Amino acid sequence: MKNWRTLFASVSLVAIASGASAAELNIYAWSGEVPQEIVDDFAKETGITVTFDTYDSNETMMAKLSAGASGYDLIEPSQYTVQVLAKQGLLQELDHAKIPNIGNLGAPFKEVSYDPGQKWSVPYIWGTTGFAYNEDCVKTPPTSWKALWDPQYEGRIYMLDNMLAAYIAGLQVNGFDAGTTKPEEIEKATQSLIEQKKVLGGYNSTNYGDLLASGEACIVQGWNGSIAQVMVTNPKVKYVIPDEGGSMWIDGFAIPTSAKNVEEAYKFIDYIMRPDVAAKAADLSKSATVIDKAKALLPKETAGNAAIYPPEDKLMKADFILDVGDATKLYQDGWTKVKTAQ
Amino acid sequence: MIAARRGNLVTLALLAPSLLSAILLLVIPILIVIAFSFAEQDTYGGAKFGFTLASYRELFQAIYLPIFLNSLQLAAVSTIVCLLVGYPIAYFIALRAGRHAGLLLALLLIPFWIDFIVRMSAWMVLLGRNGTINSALLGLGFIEQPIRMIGTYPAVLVGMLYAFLPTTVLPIHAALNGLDKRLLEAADDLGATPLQSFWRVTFPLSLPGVMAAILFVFVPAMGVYAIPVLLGGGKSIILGNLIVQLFLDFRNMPLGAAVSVVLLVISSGIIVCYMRVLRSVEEART
Repeated sequence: MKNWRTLFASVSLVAIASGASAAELNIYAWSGEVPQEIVDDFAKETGITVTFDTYDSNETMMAKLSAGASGYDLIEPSQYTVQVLAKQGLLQELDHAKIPNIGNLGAPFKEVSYDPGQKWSVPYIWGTTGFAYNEDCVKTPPTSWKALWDPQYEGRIYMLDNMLAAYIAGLQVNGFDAGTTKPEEIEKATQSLIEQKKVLGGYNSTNYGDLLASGEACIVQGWNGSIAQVMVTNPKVKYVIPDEGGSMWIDGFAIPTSAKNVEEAYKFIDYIMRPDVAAKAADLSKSATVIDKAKALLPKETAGNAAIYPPEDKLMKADFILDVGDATKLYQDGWTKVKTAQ
Repeated sequence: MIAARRGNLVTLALLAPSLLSAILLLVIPILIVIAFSFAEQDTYGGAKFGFTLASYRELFQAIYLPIFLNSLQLAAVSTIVCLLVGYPIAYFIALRAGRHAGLLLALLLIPFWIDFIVRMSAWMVLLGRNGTINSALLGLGFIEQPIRMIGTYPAVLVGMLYAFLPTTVLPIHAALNGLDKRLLEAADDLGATPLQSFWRVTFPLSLPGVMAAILFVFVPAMGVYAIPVLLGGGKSIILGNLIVQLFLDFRNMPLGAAVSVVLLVISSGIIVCYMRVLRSVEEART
């Protein structure tokens, strides 16, 4: 009897103790961009229990947030997504005093057009949208989006299953700017994307890197980070920022209004902006860091990889997609037409 | 009187857990979906509750029509393929397999202990360019170039057949299994050829099973999401994909909800038709 009582007492003590000290953090980030190792390191260093979920499109994340109940304390939106979420009132204004490491940001990322004064978000990594090919199948190195319309690769071309990303190619191949709001340009791009379906193997924004590396695909539209990750194991995979420009993007961290563990979220943001952590994260995710001091710590093959850090002149030509506002509807109707065309 | 009332109370008490879970998990979610379908949509993906038919009006625009036709067509073709393959299997298990019938049925069901997405990924490996089927055909010298299968319509049909074969076989098997074998003997005695006795005895008696199979394949096939994406490359979307696209990509909950409601209405319509036909078949028999 006495034993039972002790057992019960100790069990409830443990329960109370763990209840009190269980600092939690729920992160919702782009798949492949925040390495699990970084999350584990953070948990070990701080004792915070981290739950980590991923998404493969900004829209999915926004849908979950705008549906109300989300339970996330930290999200990783891309630039235009920060604008949309802020307009919807779904983000908390950031208190920079709680992010001492914010001073580590490289010069181009200290002031960003989509979020003046970094009110809602802090940049984490940046990258480009272009295409990649497998040398086994594509013999002459392509330099234009037109390669994704080339009938000689019929059935082995894949496009990102992502409306705005697909339209980067559709618009630029016609000589228009990605992220345009002009109805006639969007319509023309829609026609090009419909025409492209004849040669497409499919739309894919999850494992297109593997499709390319395995030779199932010859040429895929893609984000540079995912491509750089498969380049490590298959050197025949090459990444291209097309002559038409491609696009540049910045993914950063933001705290949703509904967040419950705000202090922990700040701790994570500050942690990942520490140069050594930022360097490790950038190296593991094969993405470009926004922290200058971190770049210096990177291994040569990562820092010198043109798929991750493209030459300056390429970047100058890349489009930077901002919130398209009411034109969203034009893109959506166009994309539905593309998806239903036979 | 009191006894009857007590009986009712007991029935109610016994039914309460299932009634409660049906209301909580089925009725309320459906009501929420219906409420959303009449809500208003703003540009930034917020839904304001109210009463507007805007989503339904938008739904009946020309751009969505192909998706409805696509879905009906895919569901119809899948149903036919499933029946053509499933009927002989059910027939064999019920009438020819003898003591192995139980084993065969178990074999048919065992793969379903594995997660659906994992099984579909297995098909991606089988049908891939460097996949098992292509390697085998190349190795045997039947083909010189790998055949492209992933991202084609036949690959989607293979996936549908695989996914819905058990739901086709089981009801047909159940109908055939209950068949009174003496009827077949009688047909035999009266001089019917095997083909005649199949068409005039076996097949008509298996019809309730066949109709249940049609129902079990056709209705869920319209809402399938993963197969057209994984095996078809996402190039030909059906209602299931449209709902995901509207909810997750376009953040248009009212329109997504309206599509769901329409899908629900179509499915219910088919079920009502099924009940009617089933009743007339049974009445004709008695």
